[in-house]
Amino acid sequence: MMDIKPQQFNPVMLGSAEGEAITRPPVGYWQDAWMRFRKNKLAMTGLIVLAVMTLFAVLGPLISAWDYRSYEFGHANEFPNARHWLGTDYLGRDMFTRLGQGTRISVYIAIMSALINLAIGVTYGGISGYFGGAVDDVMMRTVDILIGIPYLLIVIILLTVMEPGLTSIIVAMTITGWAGMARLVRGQILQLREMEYVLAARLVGASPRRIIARHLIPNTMGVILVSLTANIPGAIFTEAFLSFIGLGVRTPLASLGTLANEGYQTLLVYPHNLVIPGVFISFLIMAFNFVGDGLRDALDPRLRQ
Amino acid sequence: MIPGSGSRRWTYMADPKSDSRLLEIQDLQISFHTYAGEVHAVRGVSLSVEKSGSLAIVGESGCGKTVTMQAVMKLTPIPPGEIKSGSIVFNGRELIHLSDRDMQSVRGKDIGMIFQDPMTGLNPTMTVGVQIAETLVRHRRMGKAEAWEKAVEMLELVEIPQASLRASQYPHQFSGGMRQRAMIAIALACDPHLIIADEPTTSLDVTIQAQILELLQNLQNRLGMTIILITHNLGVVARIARHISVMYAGKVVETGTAEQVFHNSAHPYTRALLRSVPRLDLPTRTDLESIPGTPPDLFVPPPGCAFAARCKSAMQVCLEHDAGPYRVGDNHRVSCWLWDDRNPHRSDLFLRNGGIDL
Amino acid sequence: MRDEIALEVKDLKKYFRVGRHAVLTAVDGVSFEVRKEEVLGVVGESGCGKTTLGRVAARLYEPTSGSIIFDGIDVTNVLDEDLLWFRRKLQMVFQDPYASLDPRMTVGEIIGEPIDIHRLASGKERVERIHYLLGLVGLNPEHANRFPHEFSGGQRQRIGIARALAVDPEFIIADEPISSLDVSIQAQVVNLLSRLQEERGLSFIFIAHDLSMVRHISHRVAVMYLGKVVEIAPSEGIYRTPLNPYTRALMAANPIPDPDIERVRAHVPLTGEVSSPVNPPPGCRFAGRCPQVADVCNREDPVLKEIESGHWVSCFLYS
Repeated sequence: MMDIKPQQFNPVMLGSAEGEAITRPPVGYWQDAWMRFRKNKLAMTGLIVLAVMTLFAVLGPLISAWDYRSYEFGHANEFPNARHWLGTDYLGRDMFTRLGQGTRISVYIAIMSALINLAIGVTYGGISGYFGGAVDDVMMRTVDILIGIPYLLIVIILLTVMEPGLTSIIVAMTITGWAGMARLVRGQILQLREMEYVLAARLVGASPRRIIARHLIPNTMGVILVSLTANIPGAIFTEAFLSFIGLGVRTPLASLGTLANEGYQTLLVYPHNLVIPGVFISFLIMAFNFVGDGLRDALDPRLRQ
Repeated sequence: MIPGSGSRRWTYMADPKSDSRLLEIQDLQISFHTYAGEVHAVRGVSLSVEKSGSLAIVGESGCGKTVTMQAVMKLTPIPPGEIKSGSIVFNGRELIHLSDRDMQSVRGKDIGMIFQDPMTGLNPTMTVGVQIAETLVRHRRMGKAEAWEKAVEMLELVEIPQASLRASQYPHQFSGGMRQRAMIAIALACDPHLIIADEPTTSLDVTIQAQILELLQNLQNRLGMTIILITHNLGVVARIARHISVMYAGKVVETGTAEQVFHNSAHPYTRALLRSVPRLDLPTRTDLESIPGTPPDLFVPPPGCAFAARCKSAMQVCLEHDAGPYRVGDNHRVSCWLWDDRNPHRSDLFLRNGGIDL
Repeated sequence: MRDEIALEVKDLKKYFRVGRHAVLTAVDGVSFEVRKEEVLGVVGESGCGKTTLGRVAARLYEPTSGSIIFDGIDVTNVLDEDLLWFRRKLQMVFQDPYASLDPRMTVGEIIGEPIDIHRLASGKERVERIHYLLGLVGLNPEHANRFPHEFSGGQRQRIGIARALAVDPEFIIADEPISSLDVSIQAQVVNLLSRLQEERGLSFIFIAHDLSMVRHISHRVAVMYLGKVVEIAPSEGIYRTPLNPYTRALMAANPIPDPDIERVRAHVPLTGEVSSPVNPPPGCRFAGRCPQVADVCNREDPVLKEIESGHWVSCFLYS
């Protein structure tokens, strides 16, 4: 039995502040999300893979002795060796450098188109969602039509009109690509509009501008971010696909898709020329997907324990 | 008062009536491991219910009452949950180490559960009749036709009009009160030994709540079922429960019969709770007594009594150590230093008035 | 309580269209007045329209018909942009402490928003004002830098109250401010509201479904059922002599936290369910469940009549 002295039974005066104190350190919204993200092993793996590939894309072509366009006759289709770390392609160009270059371009295209889709989609969806009613109806029916048009058809038409190249491929990917983001943002805004804190803001006298800017958009950020990181793998794949069927950037520029296309020609004899770009594409897509999933889980307020 | 006894600590080991106990929980400890740390949700809970008895577990959100009952049903998500220690003996059988398979036959057959939100307890894609029949087929090995008949019977038992018609309907076609009745029917279908009702009327309107309470009382009287009711509504407790365990911050602070806990409460939290509820039958007081502050964070549970920071009668020792249960009367126990033998300020008269008044 | 009228509502109706042919008569011809420094409690079960009533009175929704007169000024059809002065005088406390605070803003920003919109203070004065408001509701100044998710339900509700008080209003509509809180916290918040009401001479509409709480804090109580006020009287009057059968049923259904009483009481619960507020049939809304229903109840709608001084009832039993 515990030894307790009589004076321990003396009453203590406790101020109300002790009763109200929050013992945990303050955790902001993004800090909280980062903590949750870190615990997700898959997401962290994705992040690391992305970091490594970014490093490769940036530094690879710099540290390599070769240029992405220069070719060595007589050294075509080499397997990975000491001179060419990842071998050479059918024209004798160094694969290591071309892969670095290719990753740069693929990621550039993916991110650019995702950002453009974001900008158009958020604006469009924001307006549609906030005003609702007839405006929303018209705007959303337009979006429905755009989504309904066969994507490949648009791309092919575009590319017969424009010169295939970096700009045209981005245009092709954004001309209807923003529709998905618009729908998402509009749905989110429609939902948020009815939240009590938005009602409270109206009650306090906030103007529609203030409500959209300070309440609606910041609370949509999470959804937007997640959608962005989910769009990027789609964009990478689309770019790879388009390039693979010959609608991509022109040689000697390389993207992961064009590299895959070139490698495909010699698949049976020199498989590394297709396998390596293929693996890169897969890893990039997987990594972005894991990060996107992790972000979504980290930002979901319902999963907070 | 037991003269001459040093400490009045009450231990379960010496209890002669354990045969008639249907459920006995001893020193249960459950934690949840979250990304922000470990939450000590249940910190040594001991309670029990007799056969055909009715126990109410009263407490506010975060006190651990739902987590405790979830553990009885072995519905605790593990991970992130972890049952760190303790024992749960149901009908003489230890449940803690029971395999999932064995537990499945206990759940539904021996223990039925009623949830707060009827929509989570009912499958929206199946008709109500099928949901009742399904548990009969599985646990009682009835044929489908027989099970359906019994299902309609159960709906009649819970006083749903046009039972055979209703049995073919889906939950969304039922109103809130009727859904709750349907859940009671499912819980009772296999004639379980024990019913656990987790806030069964909290989401219902007052007039519908009265109907459901009336039903529960009737069923209790007719079927002699043992019921554990989890709630924070003291009015509901007064109506249904014969025994009460009051929980705060993961522990049981007081246990006793309804009369003892309502009229002779021994723990400052119980008293404060009773005084903070306005009563329709008494003249209005000028001010409701409220408990200042908020329940503690269970990430970092305080070293002493969890209620000390908000307790008017707090003493030095309360901040340092947790009090063990003391005997106040027959079957009436409290975990509070005010009741310790060594408390020099203790006297029956002053304790009746709620401790040292600051 | 003074004699001047702070808020008057006349034959207020709010209908919502649901689907093509159905009309939800959320508020169906409600009239009452709230005097200055008076607390009017509005009590009723789900679907009675009390929340809609509160929001229409605060002009968050536009009424379908009827009028709202605040401080003698008709605000029924005034445009949102011209209501800024009204927003300083009448504020609201919402039901859901988890949804009524923007999760992305700190507590200080939340309370500061009304101060900024109405330009009531800036710089150091603004910070002091925020701390003062936090103190009013029993929170500490350092809480201003925290986010809503770090607080308990009761604390969040108090933050909501602090926000409502930031503009120093005269009138507060509290829409179920305690329903989602724990029992002991309910008492905290009700005491706080009561104290603030007395100290600052506020007029109140207190909307709730918990009778005992409403009676505790209100001077007068209005009982609503399916969009209509069925009884309105001083709070002691309603509890001592409830006249409308629905009010009586509501009272009887309320469990008393005392086993000696509860176990002995005669329990005759109301049968049936609340009928739908969509396309209601003619006659008294309560006719389907009323233990004292008569023929006339199914044909005509009763109106509020003053039976005793200040005690109004809408029921054919009394006409």
